[in-house]
Amino acid sequence: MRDQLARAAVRLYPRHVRDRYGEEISGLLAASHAPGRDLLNVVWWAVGEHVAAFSFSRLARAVLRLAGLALLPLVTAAAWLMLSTVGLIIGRVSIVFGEVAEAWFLALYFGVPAAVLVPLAVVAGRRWGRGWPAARSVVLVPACLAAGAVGVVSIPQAGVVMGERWQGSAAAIGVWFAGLVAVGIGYRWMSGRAQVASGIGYRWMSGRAPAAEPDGERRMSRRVPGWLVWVCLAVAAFVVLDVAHVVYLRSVFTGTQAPWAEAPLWFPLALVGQDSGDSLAGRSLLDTLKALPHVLTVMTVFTLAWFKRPRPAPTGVVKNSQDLVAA
Amino acid sequence: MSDLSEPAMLVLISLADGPKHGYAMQDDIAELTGERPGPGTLYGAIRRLEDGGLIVALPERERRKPYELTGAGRRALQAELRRMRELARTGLRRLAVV
Repeated sequence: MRDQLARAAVRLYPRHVRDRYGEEISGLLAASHAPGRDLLNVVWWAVGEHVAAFSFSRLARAVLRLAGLALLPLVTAAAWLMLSTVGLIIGRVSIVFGEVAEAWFLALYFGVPAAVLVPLAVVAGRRWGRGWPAARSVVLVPACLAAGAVGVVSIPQAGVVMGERWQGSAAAIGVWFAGLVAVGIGYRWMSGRAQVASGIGYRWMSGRAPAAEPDGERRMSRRVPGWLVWVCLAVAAFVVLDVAHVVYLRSVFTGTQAPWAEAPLWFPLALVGQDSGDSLAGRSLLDTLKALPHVLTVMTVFTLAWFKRPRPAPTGVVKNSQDLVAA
Repeated sequence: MSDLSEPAMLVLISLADGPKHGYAMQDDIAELTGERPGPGTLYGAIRRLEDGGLIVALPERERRKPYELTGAGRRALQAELRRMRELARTGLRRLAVV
């Protein structure tokens, strides 16, 4: 009981202090002759360390990071347009050398931006949140990205790059935000139960080597295999994107113009640049959605990579306070 | 006035005769002052002294991490104790106690 209280009190310290002295403080606290007084003393000093650590420069850095996240949709939309233009130019140039199939054009138009932006989103998502305590939140990143995306669609004239109709884009972004938060919560729940079958699997699941676990052992007693977490994340993300685009099209078209029977294919077709189907919505996917599927896809990849970013090993705490009592 | 707080001074004095870990410092300070510093007070002082380069952590032994004075810490302690001695002497002279 006293050990648990000691650990709980030490968790109140800022991370940089906890990492350095947490084990020693909890050891002294657990072995204290005046536990009540020392507990209050630790709580008081933990709060004091937070106050001492607060600074406007840190606040400014946090605001800059949030602003950077909110700008990501704008940067993505601009980069996507630029790179797809590059793809088209490559397609035009390739005509000089002979007959070119339409599929080749499509591959360039959508493949070039995807080949550049998707890996960049993975790297950025895994690196951006390092050393940022607020990054632990599963709401923060989707919220900032969604706010930035709504900002983009609200820009007069240029906002149509992410959907021709503002209300449709806003509804799709809202659905995307709610879906990604749910995916984040689900991921946390599943990763807490992930079975570790190998060192590589473990590293990908937890972002750290097996030896970095507090007890120095692999968590073999968990129930969900690591690969299944990946599959579930990918499927859940696809479903979220699919639903977001269905919500868009159903909100700007009537029921007969956008029938449910075609709805599941709208997002994947729009993603690869295909207008398809018998309905009005199906035939005008590209004109209506424009770059919305691509920007939301890059935002999704970024967010999933953020959820799975490497994290520092947790602070160890003493298991037995008697070990720390002075000889 | 000195930049060193009272807990920091007590930690430096406790380490003046050799390295100690936290629990031993608590005992030593309790013996010096009659009051045992809480873990928060003690490690608040240790953190500031370590950040200031006045003490340094030694490699952990048997899950306990000892600390020792650095050269700068020893000089700072000497200077502070001399200053306190002069201050005490002046105050006592003015009181006509010495």
